[in-house]
Amino acid sequence: MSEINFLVVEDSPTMRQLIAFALKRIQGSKVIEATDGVDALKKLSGQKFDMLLIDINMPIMDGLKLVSLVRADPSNKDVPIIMITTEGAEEDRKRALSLGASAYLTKPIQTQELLKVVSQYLKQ
Amino acid sequence: MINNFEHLSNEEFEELRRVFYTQAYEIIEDLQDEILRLDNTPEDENALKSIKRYVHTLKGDSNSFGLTSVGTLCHRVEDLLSSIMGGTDHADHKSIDLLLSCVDTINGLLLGSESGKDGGDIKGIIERIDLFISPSPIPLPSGERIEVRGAPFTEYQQLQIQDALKGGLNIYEIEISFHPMCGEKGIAQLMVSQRLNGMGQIIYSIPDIESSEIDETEKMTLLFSSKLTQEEIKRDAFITGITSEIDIKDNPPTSPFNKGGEEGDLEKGASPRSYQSWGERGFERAGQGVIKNETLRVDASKVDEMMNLAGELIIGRSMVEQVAKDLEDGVLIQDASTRLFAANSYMERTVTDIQKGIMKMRMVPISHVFRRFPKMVRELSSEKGKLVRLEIHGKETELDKGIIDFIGEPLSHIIRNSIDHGIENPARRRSTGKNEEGVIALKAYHESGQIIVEVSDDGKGIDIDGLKKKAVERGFLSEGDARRLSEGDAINLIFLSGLSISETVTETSGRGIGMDAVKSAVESMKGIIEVESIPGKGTRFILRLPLTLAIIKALLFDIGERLYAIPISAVSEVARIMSEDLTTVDGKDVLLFRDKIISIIHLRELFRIDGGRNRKRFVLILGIGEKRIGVLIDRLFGQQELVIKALDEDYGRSGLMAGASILGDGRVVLILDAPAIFKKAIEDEKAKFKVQNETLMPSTRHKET
Repeated sequence: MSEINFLVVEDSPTMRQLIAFALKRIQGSKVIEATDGVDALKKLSGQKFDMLLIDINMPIMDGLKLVSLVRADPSNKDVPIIMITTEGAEEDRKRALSLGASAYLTKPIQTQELLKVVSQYLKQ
Repeated sequence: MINNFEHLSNEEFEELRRVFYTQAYEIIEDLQDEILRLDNTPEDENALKSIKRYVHTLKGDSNSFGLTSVGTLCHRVEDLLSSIMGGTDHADHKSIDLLLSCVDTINGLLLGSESGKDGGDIKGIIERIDLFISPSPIPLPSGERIEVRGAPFTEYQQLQIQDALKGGLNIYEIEISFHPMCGEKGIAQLMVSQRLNGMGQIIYSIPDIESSEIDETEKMTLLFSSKLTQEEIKRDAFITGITSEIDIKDNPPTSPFNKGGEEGDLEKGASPRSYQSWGERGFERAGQGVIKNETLRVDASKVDEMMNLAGELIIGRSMVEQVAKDLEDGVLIQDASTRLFAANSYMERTVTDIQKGIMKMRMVPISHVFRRFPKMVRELSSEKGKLVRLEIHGKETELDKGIIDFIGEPLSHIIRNSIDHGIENPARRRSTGKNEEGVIALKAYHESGQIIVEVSDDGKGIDIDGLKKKAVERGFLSEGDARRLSEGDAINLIFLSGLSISETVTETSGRGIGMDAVKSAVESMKGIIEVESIPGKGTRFILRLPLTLAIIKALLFDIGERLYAIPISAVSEVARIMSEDLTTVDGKDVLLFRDKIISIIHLRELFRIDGGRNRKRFVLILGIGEKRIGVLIDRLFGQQELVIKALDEDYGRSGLMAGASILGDGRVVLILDAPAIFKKAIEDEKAKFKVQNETLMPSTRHKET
């Protein structure tokens, strides 16, 4: 089985760790972490990812801006993007989806739910 | 929530736990900084925004980590922030105080959960937030908890209930039985909950639909908030083939929402003494740090630097290896030795750099400690009805992490004392021609290989006569001794245990809550504390601390055949003397040195060393403040950097050793504890003093301390 490369973009180390540990359950997964939008773009320029998980609320460059920039790049037109959102942030979710995010998860992140959504979009 | 981590190995969970708490405490510190910044510049939108960001992050983390009490409180703090942001006025003192209390409470919850204890409860603080947001609050469903099949509500659920009530929503208890024909109960549960989610909010459900485990039950019980009526819900929640019976009960009227009963909570949260709990909890954490594996945040560049140096070390090793091979092959010894020396000096440079690099990693700016004081000073001075301004200088001064963790407590003790007893009240200050606002200055700087931390105030100073009087009353001194005691020595009486503890509140006693504790804390960090005071002008405490606890610059010497070292920072001078330079005064050996009489301490006798004893000897003059003592030694070997190793308890029993170290040639050297030796010398001095006095004045009695 080939490698599955994930990019987790999240400013909180706890959330990054939590997501990374969850993704480790997936066979062949390799997780790269980025702490904000700019960091993520740097990492995106060097390598191809199979899926991006992006937090909306981040310093320097937030998740929404990042999604629109990722989608503007033709090579990342189809990469699945899962947004990590907080409850109640209805507007952000709508915007993320309209900007090209594939799906969203709501904090607190439940591992099972995360894995379900991730595997669903990986298959596609 | 715990089942969210079931898939993690123990190591992974520990790692996650570590990351979570480290980050959470960092956020707490940042929050305090930002809140104080907001206090100074209430119009600062950026401060408010970063506070909001931090709270938001902490909320997400805590909820994901399963610490819902923190998550819930953060959620309410977000509401509070919105109300501050949306308000017409800028953040005022009331809101700052409330925010700080919230941070305190969160810190308490974190500490509690980290150590597996009860972190306390958040009802009190949430009531305060509610009171703040809407001055006539809807009573919080506190007190007895509503029970749904024996399961008490979590705080978050209680909050949801409260929110719903405030928003004028109805709360229902719904019991749904599934249709006998429905095979997949798990899916049925999901469908029903999805249906209900469109009509309102599910506060609680049994089985828990949020949990990943699907429970094959025939029935589902939910607590549900909605603006719809019972009939509307009954109609809309019905799914053909899935649900059979839907039973809806009005929840609030039948549930015992208790308004009273827990008023104490409000008081608890609002306590003006919260600064104390903050401080104490802070120490609790610092204390734990010694036992636990602590983490250190290090600049990535510093790690890279270490990596480079490690590479150079490998080059050095291969240089040595090459020389060894060449020697085996029979090259000229001279050639080989030249190259060996070259390799050695190359390695030496690298090792020195590595040592410096690692020390640098352990260095933390003292601002980590100083940052908690503005809040403390603010709260304490307003409580005492005094005007105090805190000035901070040199907060970027770096100190060893080990010291940073322990210095907070003694410093806050000193500052508290300054506010309590040093700074006068505004009226008094005015009448003595001082500015109404007192100043406490906190300074940190480097001085000759030490870190100096000073706390000074412009208060009324220490009442030395009062101090002497009390020392006599307590039997520490005879009246004669007290009279003879110089001002410089008398002021040190405040460090005597027992002298400062009680009756500190009286006007004349001046300062001194547990100054002995402060002193021993400083000494345990291998530091020295001094105090200076000018009546009517103010007092200054000076803490002299070593740069690091792990490595010291030491002077090597021997007494007889035994090798010793002493931290060079403690030595003020080294002099060469002849035995006849020593004289005996009052039965003690003293040395007349630069027109001063210096007491001599004989380590040879203390450590029962034989041999040596030349006529020509050296004396190390140790200095603390104005006080000097002399230590007689035989030979001096110069100075060297030593890595301190802890001594076995058996060896450390004399209390005069700070540790031991191993020299390059494999010899073991004992490192003397300079402050302890100093103390010993002063005790001896006093003891002799007393013996004499007792023979002269048999009426006065003293107990040996």
